[in-house]
Amino acid sequence: MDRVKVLIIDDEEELVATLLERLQMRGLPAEGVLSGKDGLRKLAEGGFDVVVLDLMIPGFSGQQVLQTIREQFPAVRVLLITGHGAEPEGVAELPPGAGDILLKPFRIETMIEKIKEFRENPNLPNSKTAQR
Amino acid sequence: MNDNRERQQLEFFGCILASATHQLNNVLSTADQVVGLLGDMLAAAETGHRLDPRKIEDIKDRLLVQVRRGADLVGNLNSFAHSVDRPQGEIDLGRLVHQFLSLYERLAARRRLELNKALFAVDVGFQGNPLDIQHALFLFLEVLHPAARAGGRATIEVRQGGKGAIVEARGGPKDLAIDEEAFTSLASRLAAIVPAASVTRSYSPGGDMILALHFGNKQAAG
Repeated sequence: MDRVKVLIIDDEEELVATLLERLQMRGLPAEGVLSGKDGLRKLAEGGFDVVVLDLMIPGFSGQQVLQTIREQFPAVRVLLITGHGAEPEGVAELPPGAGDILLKPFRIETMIEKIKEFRENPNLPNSKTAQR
Repeated sequence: MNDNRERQQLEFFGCILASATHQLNNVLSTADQVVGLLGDMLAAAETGHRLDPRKIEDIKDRLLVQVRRGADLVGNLNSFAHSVDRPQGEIDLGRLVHQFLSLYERLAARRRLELNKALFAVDVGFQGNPLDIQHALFLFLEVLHPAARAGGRATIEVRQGGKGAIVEARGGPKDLAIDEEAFTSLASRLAAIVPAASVTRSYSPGGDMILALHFGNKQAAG
């Protein structure tokens, strides 16, 4: 995969730290922040291709962050992650503006596949299903 | 119990279960990734990379943190579920609020409520029904939702008051605001669902709004 820089936005500190370690072990440069506001600040610094965003972060919500990314950073692809996975058969509605959605807990390989899809198909239409 | 009260109790249970299971899912997801990290290291070791015992120790500690976090959450959830079985009796409000807020944490964070547990006095005892008290707390916290403005903070405190016990939410003019309609609605819902509780609203000399939930000593709402 060409170099893709990933930003993870999730308030679960240990989850972010562990995902960063695992991505970096696979040669994917990544950074992480614990709030939507810090995420938008990071994006403003530039250099990120994909944001992995928890929909349920407190404060400046995932939906608000997603909307701001679409308005201010249109080239950045967004992979949503959510623990709100009660839907039968893992199907969840994908909010407009997001590239795809993963239900927690998810396999890191699935996450990397999605990031790879974003890289290979920058104009990929929104998917309508969620995966683990 | 009439249908309306039963329905409202079910809604209350549903909200708490949703919040707690969401947190539990986060715990499991984190533990899952930590286990995955261990798997990554073992796979790397098979290809000749050195396995660092200190790193393994670190992963063990990180997993233990999640196991303890999950166990606390499940313990609190279990106590919450069993509060249905418990009759009226002596209650330590500080402990009960602490336990309840651990389940409500996710919802509280989304409402920007700063839950200062250091302010939860111990041995704030009075006679009450644990399920009704938690339902009253839920209604009280829910009304703070539209009150905590963007970036604002409300601090929750538990203390003895008169012959009963009090839970207070306090915030500055930029942090808390509650309109007359929301306040009146809370007071009437409390009266209908948890008659042992009442709510008051006051202001400190510094302009902080104090919304207080009283148990065991009925106050005139105002």
